[in-house]
Amino acid sequence: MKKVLAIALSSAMVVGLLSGCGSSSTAASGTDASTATSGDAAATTATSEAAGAAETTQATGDYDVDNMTFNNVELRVEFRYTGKDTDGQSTWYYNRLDQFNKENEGKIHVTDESISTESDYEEKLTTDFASGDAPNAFLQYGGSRVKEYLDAGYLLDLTPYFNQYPDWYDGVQEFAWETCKYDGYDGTYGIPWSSYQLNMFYNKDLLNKAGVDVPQSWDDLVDACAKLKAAGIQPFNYSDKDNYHYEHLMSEMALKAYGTDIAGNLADGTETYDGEKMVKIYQLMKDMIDAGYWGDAILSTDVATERSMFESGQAAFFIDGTWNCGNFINDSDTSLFDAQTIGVTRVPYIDEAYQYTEMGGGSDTYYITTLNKSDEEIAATVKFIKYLTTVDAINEMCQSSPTTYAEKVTIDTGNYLLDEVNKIMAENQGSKLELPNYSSNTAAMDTIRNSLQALATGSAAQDVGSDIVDKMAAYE
Amino acid sequence: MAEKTKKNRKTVKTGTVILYAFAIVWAFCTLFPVFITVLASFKSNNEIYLNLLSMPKEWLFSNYASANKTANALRTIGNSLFVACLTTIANTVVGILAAYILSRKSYGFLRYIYLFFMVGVMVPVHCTLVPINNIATALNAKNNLAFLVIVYVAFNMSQAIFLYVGYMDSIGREIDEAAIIDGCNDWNLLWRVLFPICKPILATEAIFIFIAAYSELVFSMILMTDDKYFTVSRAMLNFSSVHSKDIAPQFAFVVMSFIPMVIIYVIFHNQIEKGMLSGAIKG
Amino acid sequence: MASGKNKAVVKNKINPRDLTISILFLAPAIIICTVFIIYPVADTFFLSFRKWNGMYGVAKEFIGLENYIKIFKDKLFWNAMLNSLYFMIGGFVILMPLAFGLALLITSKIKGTSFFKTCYFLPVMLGTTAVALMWTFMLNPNYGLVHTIHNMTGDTSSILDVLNTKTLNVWVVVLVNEWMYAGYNMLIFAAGLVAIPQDVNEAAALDGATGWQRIRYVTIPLMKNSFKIFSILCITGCIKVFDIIWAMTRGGPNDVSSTPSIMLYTQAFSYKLFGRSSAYGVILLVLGVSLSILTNHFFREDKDLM
Repeated sequence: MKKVLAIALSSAMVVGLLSGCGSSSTAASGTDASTATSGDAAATTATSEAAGAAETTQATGDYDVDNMTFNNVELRVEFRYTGKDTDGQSTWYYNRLDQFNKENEGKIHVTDESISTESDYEEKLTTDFASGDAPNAFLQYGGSRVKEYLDAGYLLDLTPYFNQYPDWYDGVQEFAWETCKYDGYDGTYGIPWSSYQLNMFYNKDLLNKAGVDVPQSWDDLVDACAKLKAAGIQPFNYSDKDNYHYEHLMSEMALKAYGTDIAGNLADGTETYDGEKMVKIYQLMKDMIDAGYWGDAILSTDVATERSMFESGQAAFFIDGTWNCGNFINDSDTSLFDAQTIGVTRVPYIDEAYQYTEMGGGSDTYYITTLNKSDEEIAATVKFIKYLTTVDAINEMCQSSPTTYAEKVTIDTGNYLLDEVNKIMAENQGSKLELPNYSSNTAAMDTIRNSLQALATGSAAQDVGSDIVDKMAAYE
Repeated sequence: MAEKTKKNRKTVKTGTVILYAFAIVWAFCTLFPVFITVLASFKSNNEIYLNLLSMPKEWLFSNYASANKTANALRTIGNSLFVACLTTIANTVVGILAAYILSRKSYGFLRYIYLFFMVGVMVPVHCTLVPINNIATALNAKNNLAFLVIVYVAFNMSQAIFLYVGYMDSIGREIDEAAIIDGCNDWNLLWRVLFPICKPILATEAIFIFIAAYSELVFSMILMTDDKYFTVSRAMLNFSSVHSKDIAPQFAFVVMSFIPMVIIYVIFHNQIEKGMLSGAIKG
Repeated sequence: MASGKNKAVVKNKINPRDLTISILFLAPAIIICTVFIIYPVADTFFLSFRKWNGMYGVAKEFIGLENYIKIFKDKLFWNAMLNSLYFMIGGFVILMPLAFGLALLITSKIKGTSFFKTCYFLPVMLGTTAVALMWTFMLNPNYGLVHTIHNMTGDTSSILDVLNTKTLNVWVVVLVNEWMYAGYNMLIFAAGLVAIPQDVNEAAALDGATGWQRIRYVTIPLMKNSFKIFSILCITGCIKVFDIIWAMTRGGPNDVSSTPSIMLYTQAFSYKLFGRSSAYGVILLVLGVSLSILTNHFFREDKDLM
């Protein structure tokens, strides 16, 4: 019954669209969702079919947003920039935003509603979507965090626009697209601007002092830590106050132990978070903690502090994302970076076969919403997002903050660490995003991040695994 | 007899010493962290991390400049002050009107009205976000300081009424009766007679409301999206992002946003003092 | 006596003019509260029996009591309730005597009361965000106050990470909370204290009652109303405590310091389970209102006994 209703409605919508009734199309998709979707799978499929149908219809339309005429379109975007003149990326963004508004005066005006802190950002975005007052574009990181917006049919498929502007699409490195593509959906539902992978930074002086080579395998790393410790040098000041840090490492270690298949296996249930394979990973982490190689106060240290301790020579290693290349030159203490004492290498492998497998990919990704938006607004938003993500634009951004981007940056920033990181990334053989991203359970990311913190408070590896599975079940 | 008074005086003396000791110890407990905050606001990041207690090597006023730049401190403090003042006034007036009826009249339905207001003390803020955002969207009231004020009034109303009613109930009705005999109507009885007596609680609650409205975060974040209208707590978020660790300007901003509060408090404080005096005489 | 007489008079004849005035006086408060409190509460109640992922336009499917059952089965909920109870215990055992003591102090005849009063009220004026920032900083084992003092004494043993130790972290936050709100509740008690007629105290002093005896047998009984107000505000505040613990521990590590309000928040804004979050809201509301009514009764019976 519901299915019939859904099909009837979606066909009605297609008819409505064909008759060229532009502004009513979004209204129609809104009603469609509210009447047809009742939570059961059939209706949901019908809705996404309807969304698909809507796009095919649009394909006959005009996608040349750069040559469209706009008249006083007001746009709101919710990103996570930290505010004017705070860091390189934000400075660039706000300049670019002002420039866009100036160029399009009287045509398009974009208001930025960035909130930098993650939980507050989520709170605002969630509330706005729940009230139907969604921003025209927002920032997310793909995977399970975006799936619900996609299932509800509120994300714009950019494919026809990329067909219109092939250079725009080709400007992005292939591996970074994973945040925008989903199984069961054909389109490309966003565009990433940053990319990253996990790396291990090390202090050359401290390694020399203890007579340690740069570790290649996890066993090498454990040996190195023992030697450093014996020489009175703290190997890590590992932090997990920002609870993504353990989860990133866990994902990376699992990929380097079992290859990229582990992501799919965990998602479809052939492998579980309390299974033998994953528990082995937690155990490896716990061994490091128990041996004191990761330092004290793990849960009271945030990543910024960990980095600044590394920069002041208080730790030999620092495992974190490639974005730190930019941080090392912007932090208050740059002496180690200036002396080129900081080195960078891959995170040590657990199984040699997966030495070149990495956790990473596209990161910050712009998504455009269709919820209660007119066609004119959508087109204007595309124009703005395109303005932010062309290779030229990202070149400028990279100049002001040298780190790894999703786009094929063509400039040389002269940052020696970034050059090395790029070399490492060029040799990758397969990469995956954070493992919880592939879970169909929306709560996976947060529960796993929370549960892993227990490792630092002395929980056993097996208990952490069970805790993850229990919590995920509770929030299914 | 004489011995007894002497003994009494002695206990009074030790009592006073204990009183002073307690007063000073607790004053130290509250001042010390504030002192550290002020100190930290003049240090460099590294100095703070190195030693929390040390005096700054060089007094860095630049922290204040950069706090002002990052958070646009002066404007956000101005916004917060504006919102807090309006909320306080509106809340006091609306609250005391309702409290007067609840305390002084005895209709049966008032018991339920009182319960109705009590619910407000108990509502978890985060339940109300989506519905209130719905209202704001429907009324097109985002980035509207007046709307924000009404929301704050609503959320502070229950406690205000609760405190006012509690206080008014403790005032004898002989005063009312005398006033009524003198020909006072409800309006005059409330504003001319009860209002002055209630000053201690009104001033106390006014400060509570002021602080709540001045430092509120959740609604100002959801309802105010234009940085022209940012309030102090909202601007504070700009500091605490994942990739920045500017702890020193953060402390500077705390100190800056805190100063107007102290000033307002000192002003209100005189009122409280006066109110207390009048309360003591009339009660 | 007098009030009873007054009530009887009103009950006998309802004056329409008086009724209209009463309604007019109540109207603004009722309207504002209905729109911004009761409507959201009704919405919360409605959603608590449904499943919704927070996407506008997506149907809110009716699932009966499932949300409630899942909550009561969740051991994190019980842990959160326990943490709320810690706040309540702290409120009555630490905060109440402390705030009352401070109120006595600032209304006593010692010198410099206005200075002390301002000092005691400073923490509330700082606001939760700043207080949390300061205390987490001071308690940090890497660079905090304990660390600094530790370094000065030349001790190099590791420092307990108090904010990340189960149970202890909740108590630390409870203490910070009492530190912050002692001044706030001091004002509530002080407002009650100054309403006590001077002559009562003087009479007691003439009868030879010592300071302590006067407090115990004269002041405290007369302060019953203030204690009632404190109790209700404390109970309701502790049940829905969110800000301070969120700012200091985020409910972590691994949810051990969560309170029901933090659960409510994460259910909705991290896990997109709006139905379950609403069920949390209803539970908190029912619990808070019933405990408030109980407290009211407790104090009322007390009055009859006297």
